[in-house]
Amino acid sequence: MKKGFKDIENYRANLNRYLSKIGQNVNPEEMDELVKHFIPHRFSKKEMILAAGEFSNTAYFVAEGLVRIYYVKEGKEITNWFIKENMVFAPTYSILTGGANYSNYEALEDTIVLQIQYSVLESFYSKYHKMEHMGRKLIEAYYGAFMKKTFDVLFLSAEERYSLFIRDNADLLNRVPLRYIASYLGITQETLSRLRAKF
Amino acid sequence: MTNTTPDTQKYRNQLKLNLLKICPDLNLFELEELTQKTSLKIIDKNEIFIKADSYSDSIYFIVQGMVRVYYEKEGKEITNVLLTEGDVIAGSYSYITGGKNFSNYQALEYTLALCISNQELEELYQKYHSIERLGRKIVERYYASFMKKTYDVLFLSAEERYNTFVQNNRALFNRISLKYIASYLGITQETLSRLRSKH
Repeated sequence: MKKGFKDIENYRANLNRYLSKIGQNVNPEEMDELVKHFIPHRFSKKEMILAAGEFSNTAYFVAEGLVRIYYVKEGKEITNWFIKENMVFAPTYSILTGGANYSNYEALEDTIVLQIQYSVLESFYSKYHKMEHMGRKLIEAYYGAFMKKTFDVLFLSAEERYSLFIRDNADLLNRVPLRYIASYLGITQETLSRLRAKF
Repeated sequence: MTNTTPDTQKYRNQLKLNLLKICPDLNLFELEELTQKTSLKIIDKNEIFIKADSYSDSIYFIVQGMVRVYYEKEGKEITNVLLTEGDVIAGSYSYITGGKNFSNYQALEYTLALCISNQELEELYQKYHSIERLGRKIVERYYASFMKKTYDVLFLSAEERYNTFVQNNRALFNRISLKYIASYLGITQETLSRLRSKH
């Protein structure tokens, strides 16, 4: 246990619960073994966890706090994701292709993560069949979310996207500056205000 | 399958080599069982074999031919993926999320694919560790290429996208009608012609 993370056992228990939901039949001892390999790390509000252009092989579980993922295009920040406590994130593009990462990962609040190298995760996948299954389900969940985001932007109206967002993330409305939410939804702040007043 | 169909075993052997490229540590006995469970499907030129709004129930390993994946938006067809020998097709959105597909999958040539039902594949995943790993590797591969396509459209100029496409798909150029290539690159046919004469 690392000094300065008094709730580390609690964080690991939450991570265990998250992973056990995805890898439903993983043996509890194997899961405990894996979870111990996640290392806690602290980021202050506004600190960059990982910047675009960097290479990374690290996967993260948010134990406390909130992370914003965004890219910069023509000087403008486009917010793609918000990752709150008990969710995972990873620079999957860099991990899977070996290329430089396109997105920036910024702590929006004081944040504590549990992190692990993807290669360590993969060594567990190789060791235990049920972890391999969990690994497949994890990456499928990622791919599914990425596709869903892409198709939502293509096929849903701003109003539909907003409704989905508040259905799934009502708590974020009070935690995230509205300009980031507007950017996430692909609408202006004025449209967002109009939608908020309407619902 | 009738006696007039092409030599299935020949294509199964070809499939084994393709899958070993994706996942080199496949167990050969397990791989044999997987390929024996596939059956050969003939897809006629221009046939749409997975439709938008449908649910996926099978995986297709292309052994000959070519497929384009497109969606329709405001009455316009947008080609976003081109697939050929060695590629794996799942109707991934439906396969992963359980929702309906957004895209249509159309054969651009007389196409042969070895097919297995999702259910049979799931059974093999449960039975064999190395087949489950293959499943993960396939998802990782198509997730990475989906991200790459997305980022290329965001960050590369039309000319850069054209050059990347030519480098990676030289052999495909003469097999695909230019209107699909233009749509894939997100440019007009006129721009495509201009780029072709320039390079």
